[in-house]
Order: sequence, then C-alpha cells, then structure tokens
Amino acid sequence: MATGVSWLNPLTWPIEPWVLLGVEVTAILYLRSRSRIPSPAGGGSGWGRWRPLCFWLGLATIFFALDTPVEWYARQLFWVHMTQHLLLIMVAAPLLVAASPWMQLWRGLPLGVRRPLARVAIKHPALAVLRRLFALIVTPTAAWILSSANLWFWHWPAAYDLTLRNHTIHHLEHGLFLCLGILFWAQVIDQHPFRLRLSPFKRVAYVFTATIQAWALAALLAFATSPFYAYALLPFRPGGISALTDQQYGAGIMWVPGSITYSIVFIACLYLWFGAEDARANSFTPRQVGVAK
Amino acid sequence: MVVPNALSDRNLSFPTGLITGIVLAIPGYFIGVWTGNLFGLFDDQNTGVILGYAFAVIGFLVGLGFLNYPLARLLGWPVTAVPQTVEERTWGRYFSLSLDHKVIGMQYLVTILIMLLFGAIGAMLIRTSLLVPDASITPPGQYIMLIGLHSVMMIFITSAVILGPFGNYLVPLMIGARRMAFPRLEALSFWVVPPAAVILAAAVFWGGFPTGWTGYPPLSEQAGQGMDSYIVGFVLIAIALVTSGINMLATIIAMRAPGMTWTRLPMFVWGIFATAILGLLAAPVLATALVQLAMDRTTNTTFFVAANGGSNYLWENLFWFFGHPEVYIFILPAFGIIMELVPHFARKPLWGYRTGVVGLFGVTLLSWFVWQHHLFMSGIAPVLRPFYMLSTELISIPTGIIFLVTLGTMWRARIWFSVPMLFCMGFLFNFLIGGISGVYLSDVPTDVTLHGSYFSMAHFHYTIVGGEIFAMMAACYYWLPKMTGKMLSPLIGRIHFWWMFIAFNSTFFPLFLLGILDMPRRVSVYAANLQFLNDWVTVSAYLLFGSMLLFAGNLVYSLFFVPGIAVANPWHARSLEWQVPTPVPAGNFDRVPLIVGGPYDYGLPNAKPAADTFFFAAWWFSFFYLRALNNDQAWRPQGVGPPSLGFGLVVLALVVLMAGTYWVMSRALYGSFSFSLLAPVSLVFGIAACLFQGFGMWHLGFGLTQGGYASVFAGLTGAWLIQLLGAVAWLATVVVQGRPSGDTVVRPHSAATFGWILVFLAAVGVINYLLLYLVK
Amino acid sequence: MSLRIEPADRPHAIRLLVMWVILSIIGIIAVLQIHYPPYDQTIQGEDQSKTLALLTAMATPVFIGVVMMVIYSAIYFRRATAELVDGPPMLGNTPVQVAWIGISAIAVLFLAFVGVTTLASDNVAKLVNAPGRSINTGGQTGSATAAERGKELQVQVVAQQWYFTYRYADYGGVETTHLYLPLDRPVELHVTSLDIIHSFWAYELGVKADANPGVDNVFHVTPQKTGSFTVRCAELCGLWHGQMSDTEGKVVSQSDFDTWIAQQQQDYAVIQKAVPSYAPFYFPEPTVKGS
Repeated sequence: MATGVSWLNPLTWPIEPWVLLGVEVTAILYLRSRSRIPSPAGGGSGWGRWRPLCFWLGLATIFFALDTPVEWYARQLFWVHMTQHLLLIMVAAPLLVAASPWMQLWRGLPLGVRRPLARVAIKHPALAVLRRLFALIVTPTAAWILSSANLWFWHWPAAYDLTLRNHTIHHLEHGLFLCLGILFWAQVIDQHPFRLRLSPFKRVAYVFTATIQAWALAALLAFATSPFYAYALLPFRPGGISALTDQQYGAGIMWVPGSITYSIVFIACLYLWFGAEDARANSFTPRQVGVAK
Repeated sequence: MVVPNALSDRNLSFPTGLITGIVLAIPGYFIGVWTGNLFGLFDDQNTGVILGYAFAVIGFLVGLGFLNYPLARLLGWPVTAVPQTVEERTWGRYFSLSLDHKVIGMQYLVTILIMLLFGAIGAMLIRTSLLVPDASITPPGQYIMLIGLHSVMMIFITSAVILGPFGNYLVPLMIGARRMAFPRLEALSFWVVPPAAVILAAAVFWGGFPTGWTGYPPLSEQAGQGMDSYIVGFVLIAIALVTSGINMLATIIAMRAPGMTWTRLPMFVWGIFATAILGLLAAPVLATALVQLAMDRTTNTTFFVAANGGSNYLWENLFWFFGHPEVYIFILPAFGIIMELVPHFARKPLWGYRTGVVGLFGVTLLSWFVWQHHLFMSGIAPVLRPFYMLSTELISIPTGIIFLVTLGTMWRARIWFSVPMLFCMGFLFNFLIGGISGVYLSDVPTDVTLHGSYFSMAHFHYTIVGGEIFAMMAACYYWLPKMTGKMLSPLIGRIHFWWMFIAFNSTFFPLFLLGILDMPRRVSVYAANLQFLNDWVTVSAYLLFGSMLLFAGNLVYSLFFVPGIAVANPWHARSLEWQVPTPVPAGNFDRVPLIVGGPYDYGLPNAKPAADTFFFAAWWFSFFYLRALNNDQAWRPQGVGPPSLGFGLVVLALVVLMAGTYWVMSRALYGSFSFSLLAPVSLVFGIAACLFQGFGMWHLGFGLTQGGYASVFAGLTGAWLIQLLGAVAWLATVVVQGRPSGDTVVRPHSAATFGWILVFLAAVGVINYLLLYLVK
Repeated sequence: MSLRIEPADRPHAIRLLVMWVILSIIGIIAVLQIHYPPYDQTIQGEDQSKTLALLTAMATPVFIGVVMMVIYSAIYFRRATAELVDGPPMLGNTPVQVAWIGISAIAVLFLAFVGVTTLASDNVAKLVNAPGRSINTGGQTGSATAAERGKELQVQVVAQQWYFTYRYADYGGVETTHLYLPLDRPVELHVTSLDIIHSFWAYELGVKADANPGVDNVFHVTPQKTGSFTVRCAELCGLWHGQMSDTEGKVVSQSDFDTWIAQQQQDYAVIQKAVPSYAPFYFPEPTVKGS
C-alpha cells in the first residue's frame, strides 16, 4: 500500500514546489520585518501576544495540508481531500486573518521594492479598473458571494474532476480557497490595518448565513445516493471503503468539524455584539427603564 | 397614540363574532364536502373531508371578522381607529376578534387549559387501558384512536402553551411596547387554534387515525377519514406557528422602547425570540409534508409510495426536519421562564446573562442539525449516524449552559421559595433527568434497545411535561396576578406543587424501566411480568391528574371566590411588566414613548419570504431525494415528461415581467403616471401567467400516479401557482386602490415590500423551471 | 483570568466538592453493579450493554451534582428574613463558565468518540473469535464491505400487518414463522416490509431495524450464547401493533439449527409454488393503483 510515501521520512513527502515557495517567502518576509521592527516589551497585551503564534500555525497548516502525505492520501480519498480544503478555509485562513500579518509582510519587502510597487498599485492610471474591481471585491457582500460561489463551484463534478486531472487548476483551486477564505474571514475578524465595515450585529448575521450555505452543500453531498466525483473510478481505496461511503465521510467532515470555526467566530461575534449593546445601553438614562440586568 | 381596534365606518352588513363564526363554519363545511366530492378523483371522500374542514375554517374566520379590515382597505372604505376604553372591558371581548395582545393572551390561556383537560382525559383513558396486559379494557381500534388523539392534542397544546398565553400577554409589556407589531396576525394565530382542536376531536367520528402523532406513511395513506383531521389540524397549527413567529420577531426587533437594548432584554423575551425563529422556519416544512400527504390521499400522487417512485423516507425526513425544531419550540420558552423567574426570586442578577443567551441560541442553531436521530433505526445510510449522534450530543452543551446560569444565579443568594420558584426547582430536577435520558437515546448503540420503547416515552414526557408544563405552572402562579388581577392561593399552590412533583416522577420514572425491559410504545398489550410497573404508573397517573384538578380548583377559587385585586407587583420584581398597574390599561404604558412609527411598514426583512423559502426548499428537497432514491423508470416512466419547454418558458417570462414591471413601478414616484400605468400592466402579466400555468396543469399529459416526478411536478407547480394566485389577487387590490380617482390608501413602503414578494415568487419560478424542465 | 474563588464562596465550594465526589463514587459503583440489557446473547448486544453502563456511570455524577446544588441552595441560600433583601450582585465568572462549558464539551465529545468507534470499528460482522468486534450497522445503500460476506447467514425478516416471517436465502428461500439462529455464526439480517413501516426489534439480540416497503434494510448480528429471545414490532403499524410479537425466537447450536431448518424446508415445500421467490424486497402487484 505505502509506495514510498511515509510520514516519518520528509524526503518522500509530495512537496509541491509552488506551495513550498509561497510558504517560505511569506515566512521570510514576516521574519524580516519582525527582526527590523522590535516587538513591544512583554510581547504586547492581550490578543496581540497571540498574533505571531496564529501566523505560524496558519503557515504550518498550509504546509501540512498541501505538502505532507495528506496530499498523497487526498489523491485517493475524497474525505482526505475534503479535510485538506477545510484546513485551508477553516483553519489556515482564519488563523492568518487573526494574525493580521499584512503590515509585517509588506514591510518585509525591501524599501526599494515597496516604494515603486506601492506607487504603481495606488496611482498608476492603467490599473484604475483593477483598483475599482478590487474595491468592489472587498466589500462584505461581494466577499460573501464570491467565497460561497467559489465553494460551490469547485464541488461541481466537472470542475472537481478537472482539478484531479490538471495540476495547475488544482493549485488555482487551493489558491482561491485560501485567498477567498482570507477575504471572507477578514470581514468578521479584526485585523490591522483594515477596518471592519460590518457592524457587530451584521457580523453575526454574516457568519451565520455563511454557515447555512456550507451546511446546504454538506447536506447535498451527505444525502447523495451515488458518488459524484472521479474518485469512484479508482479501483481501490485505502480502508477498502466504497466511493459512496468515502463521499459520505467527506460530507460529514465538512458538516461537523467544518463548522467548528464558524461556531467559534459566531460566538465571538455574538459576545462582541453584546458588548456593543451594553455600551449603547449605558448611554441611556438608567431611570427610563427599570429592567433588572 | 391609540390602540388600534380599527373599525370601518361601513361594515359588512352582519355582526361578526364567535357565533357568526360558528354559524358560517357549518355551511362552509358542507360546501367543502360537496366541492370535494365533485372534484374528488375517487369515492373515498378524503377530498371532501379536507375541503370541508378547510371551508369550515374559512367560514369561521370570516364570521369572526377577519375579512373586515382587508375588505375595507380593498374597497377603499375609510378606516378609523377606535380607542378601547376601560368601560369596554367586558367578557364579550374574549369571545370575539380582539386586537389587544392581552386579550389574545387570555383567550389562549383559557383555550389551552381546556384543551389540556381533554388531552389529559385521553391520557387517563390510555393508562386505564394499560392496567391489564391484554386488550380487554379497550379494544385495539379504540386504543389506537386514543393514543392518536391524546398525542396530537398534546402536541397542539405544547406548541403554544407558553408562547400563546404568556408570549402574547407579556412580550410587549416586557419590552416597553404598547402593542404588538401585527395584531391581526396575532389574532389569526390564536383563532386557528380552537378550530384545529375541534377538527382534531372530530376525528372521533371517523374512528380516529392509526398513526400516532408522527403520521408515518404508508400507514397514514392507508388510514380512513380520521387522518384528514390530523392533516388539516396540523396545517392550522403550522399557520399559527408561522404567524406568531413573524409577529414576535417583528415586535421584539422593532418595538423595543428606547434604552431597551438587546442586552437588557428579559430572558423570557429571548426565549420567545428563539422560539419564534424556529416556529417561523420549521412549520412550512411540515406544511409541505402535510400537503404531500393530502395529495397522496386525494389525487393519488406517489410521494410516499415506494412502489411508484416515492419513498416513506421522504416523509420521515421532512417530518422530523420540522419535528425536532418543534420540540425545541416546546422547551425554549420554558428555558426563558426559568431564567426569568429565578433572578427575581433569588434577588440577584442573572448570572452569566450573555452566556444564557448564547445557550438559547446554541440550542436554536443546533436543533436544525439533529433530526436524523429519530431515524437511527430506520435504515438511513450508516455513515450518517455518527454525525447525527455527535450533533445531538453537542446540543447538551448549550442546554447545560441553562443549568449553569440558573445555578449560578442561585449561588449565595437569598432565595424566596415562593410557589413559582418551587416549580422552577421542579423544572431543574425533571429536565435534568429528561435531558440525560436524551443522551442515552442519542447514542446509537444504546438507541438500538431504547428507540421506540417506553424509554423514549419517558424521555419526552420528562422534558415536555416535567419541563414545559412545570414551567407553565410557574408562569401561571407568577404572572396570573398581573394578567387576571388575582393572586393564586399560595397554600393550595404549595400542595399542588408537591403533589404534582411527586406524582409526576412516580408516573414517568418507571417508564424508563419499562422501556429497558422490552416494552415498545403505543401498545395496549405487554408481557405479563410488567403488569406491576404498569399498574404503579397508572395509579400515579391518576394522582397526577388529581393534582391538575387541584390546580384547576385553585384557579377557580382564587379567580372567582377571593375578593379584591392583587397588588401591582406582588413579587417586588424589577422587570418592566410589573411596573404597570393591575389591571393593565389598554395602552400598556402612558409615559414610555414609542420607538418606531409605522411598524406595519417595516416589513421585517424576509420574515415571510424566509418562511416561504423553507416551504419551497422542502419541495426542492423532495425532488432531489425521490429522484436520487429511484431508478429512472420509477422516477419518470415512459411518457412522463415536462410539458413543452417553451410553454414553461412563456409562463416564467410572464411572471418575471410581472415582477419586473411591479418593481419598476414601486420605485417610481408615488402617484406618477408610470405608477398608475405599470400597476395594471403588471397585473395583466400576472393574470396571464396564472391562466397559462393553470391551463398547462390542466393538460398535463400524464397521470399523477405515474412515478415520483409526476407527483413532485404537480405538487411543486401547484403550490407555486396557488401562491402566485394569491399574489395576483393582492396585486389586484393594489391596482384598485391606486386608481387615480380613488382615495388611495396604498402606502409606498408596503408597496415596495410587496415588490420583494413578487421577486421572490419569480425567483422560485426560475428554480422550479430549472428543476422540473431541465434537470428532470 | 485566573480562577478566583472569593473568600465567601470558599466554604460552600469546598463542602459541595467533597460531598459531590463522595456521592459520585458511591453512585458510580452502585450503577456499575447493574446488569444492563440487552445482556450478552450477541456480540452487538454485549457492546450495547457496555455502552449503557458507561452512559449511566457518566450520568450519575452529573445528576448528583445538579440535584445536590439545588438542595444545597434550598438549605443554605434560603432567605433568612421575612423582608426581601437583595443578594450579592454577581454578574458572572468567566473562568467558571469556561470550565463548565469546557468540561461538558469534553464529556460529550468523549461519549461521541466512544459511540462512533463502537459503531465504526467494523462494518461487517466477524466471527466470534476474530480480533475485531462486530457491531450493528445497516442501511439500504450498502456500505458494508465485501470481506467476510460469504460466511454470513443471510436471513430476511419480512414484516407485514401484523406478524413477522423469516426467509433463509441460503436454504432456498424457505419461509418460517419463527426465527432460529445458529450459535457463533454471523448473521446478516435483511429487513423489509410488505405493506407499511414496521420495526423488527429482537430484544435479547440487540437488533432493531425498521421494515420499510420496497427497502432492504441490512443489519448484522452474531449470537454468542444459546437461549431464547423475543421479537416485537417497535413501530406503530395499525390496530394489532401491540400484538405483533413473537416470544419463540431461539439461538440454538448449529446441529439443532440444521435439524430445524431441514424440517422447515420439508414443510415449506408444500406451499413453495404459491409464494414469490426470494427477493430483497417485494412489491405488491399491480404497482399502480387503479385510476
């Protein structure tokens, strides 16, 4: 069964060059900026202390999902492939957003690169259309629609099978999952330097509705009575399970463990909203209403 | 501002009220039966009975006066608001259509208590039958009728027992509002309940129905006319849940007084809020399932007939997708009550307020996600069982939060153990047992023995009776002094509590043992060695009934034989409803200002379309489910296919044009030329669409018995067409009201909201087309 | 964010903790003495008994804890004076809340984990002495693995209003009115119905499977002790649902089984021509209602 791929021997891991490159470059940029800008004494207060940890965990998750034997199993088992995607969208993306490494990554670039790059990106007239497009994409509504549509699109059998056959498309798929995932979570998790556009309550509704659409997809896969994807053509799956069982496991994993991040963020947004409401309440004269808290 | 009790200066020329309602219901029934027999496809009378019940209810509602206001608006009669003065507080207002939420609350209370009496008598008869291990006391036919009637009556009751009386009475008071957002809808949600109960009781004339409250086909298709009572009664309750849900959500969101922020909302209101969400979204799915069952029984579609491209699993999934949120509709108000009362009696703030709210919403969210735990043994795909097991077990976490919050509130408090507080403690004990037994049932290996046995009976009686009914008792003792002006006797109350608590546990705890000892539920015969336990349970049940009679006695005694009016705040509570005097004045508050003007126009974002989305989603689910379960031959036999694609496209185009022109019209300047022109144009498109679609359905070209596709086609298109007809009728009223010469009373805001509904229907039409014509 | 316990709380907390631990230990020991159904006539049944015992053992401290808190509050947190005095304004204690939720989450996830592994450890019944355990599973979409299929005894349970009959596919589809199973041999039950939904519940075997028309519901059982068992219908199926039971199910030795089945085949030969041949499920003919 194990044709040379072993967890214990990193040299046999199916390392993807582009992924490795991306992870390494990001890590280097981050380290570079942190070495030049000293972190606050004591490591910062409260949440700030956890940001570097989130960043490294996020990168590690990407690496774990895409460059370890997980990738090898993902080529044979639908549910492992699903786990891979979930790691990207539900673990790596929110961790990266929570880490809000954007300024660090930007400052990791040398100044000689940053200045012209920024000038071109912000001022160059030829890119005006792109800028408008970008501004449109990062609005909450667009982000929701894009990330949801992306999710559903890649589960369409024709698209899914294409990623199994074509490597570039597969990378594109993973890239889109990660980027659109980051875009989605960025709407609800505070990350410097971007200001959240959604009010506390809207954030709650935002996460909630996204959860429901993900559940709809999971339900569709779970209740299917025949396998949808090309995994069904494989003669044999590890564990000897049928293609349908594989699909149902995948659906279940998408449904329950895949909701963990949604739940945590949902509850966090809920509590933040309560805090905002309390602050608003205290601005009213208490005498007007005599409600026990 | 005055309380709206809008009366038209020109009335329908007969007096409306309860008597008129009953008088109109009777001919309504016969008209329905006649119509049904005219159009019914078979001589088994189901169509007649269902239409008979439906027309009777319509006649009843018309007689009550529900049509007055819409007719007045439609025909342009001037509408004036008449203030309700203190002198009008007569007994009569409880028997008529009242828009005062307090009156509706009292109407609910009395109705539910009467229904509870009948349900309890049914239970006593069942237990009496179980005194002996054989069927000698009650023959099987009667026994099965009794369990059906008892269970469904109790389901009707427990859906509304807290939400109806206490939700309606107290929510506006607690949030500082002077009335509810949609009083007419709320009155409707009440007035469908007595007909539902009567229709259910009418099943006796047909020998009842043999399926219990779960209505599983094919047994429910095999059943006689009694089953139609079940169908119509449940549809009415679904309507009550949806309208009540809309109303509660709109009221709580839109009508809170200034300063009543979300984090100051009483926990009872949070409980009602969560319940309303569940009721609004779950009930339409039940409606779909019931419509499909009715179609199978009348027009011989094959939704649930495995031999013809249907599946009994479709019913099981649709029913339990509703059924599980339904049981949380039972218990969430009870959670709200417990978390509301305990702080007042512990004289301490609620410990962990935010966590309590999160607990309520955790339950609400997870309840959508667990329904297949009712189907563990049904033969569902095995890999799904672990996931539902996990999700069901996860629900115990937010439920545990309720306990955490309550116990934390009691910690180091100075608790006043009044009668309501005693019932809260009883709730904690009972629901603990009920909840823990739920974990047993959620674990698939143990569920093998426990499913469908007396163990599950004990579980849900502990949670519903021990939980919800005990909370209701607490609510009665707590709030009746405000609602009726009379304090219930504390002495009798204490006796009532201890009697009821001991009798309850004595009745239902042995049921756990019976279940573990191999006694299935819904049986009238059992192994002889279980007779002692059964007899113990029966005698305890009689005692439990006795305690309820004592409660009734307390009610009668305290309400009618004790002079004087209770003080305004007997519990010295700090919540808002106790700051108003007893009896509560018509406008609730004199000094609290209203927060929004015109809540009618608010049109809560997507409340109605949200419920409707679930209704149609259930149909779409049925399409995919049946299609997936059957091979092509069973799903769509030779000769069965959609009417021509072009035809469907024409209908779709007409509907889209209707919605589009209306949309443009509603954005146009009010009263402008384009406004007056586009409305009739839109109406013409709508009428054309209905005519085309109706014609198409009349000439389907295939029989409804031919496979699952045919059934789904007929049902889905039919449901859409009916809603389209309703929309077109409403559109007609808009056109009539908007005519240039007339006294228009169309409000721009509601016109725009209606535009959303048309767009929604058009979108549903598009999806239907894709499914039925292209995906096939 | 440390777990501060205020001085006023300490005596109560200590008292409660000590009482809870003592009572829980006693309680757990007590509940573990009970013999839980479905006892051990089958491998699956034995696993179910163990799960039941585990659940009861875990439920005991929870039950004791909450009831103890309620009673304790009734005694020690009762108002002391007739006049109403407010209690201390405690709004919450985040570490306590997190601890409670965390512990309940861990307990629940542990239970789910045990349940899932019990369910999923094997999808096919194995022989009694084999290293794996064979666990109840089933479904109409056939997710059981192919391995070991051939060794299982195929038994079809046919439910109808209002009795169960059984057909043995390996013995020519012979239909019998009582269920006899040979000892130590894995059995694959195929449960179906002729008319409406019933449910095949063999109490001592630890099997419950709904019988649906047009559906082949597959469950596995491996008897490991001789004895009798009761079969009841566990889904309301009309008038005689309560009477739809059979107390004469038996697990017998292989040789007794062979004798019995031979006798059954002899009796069956008489009516064999009139009975439809063995099939996964049976539809009535004709399939379309008269219109």
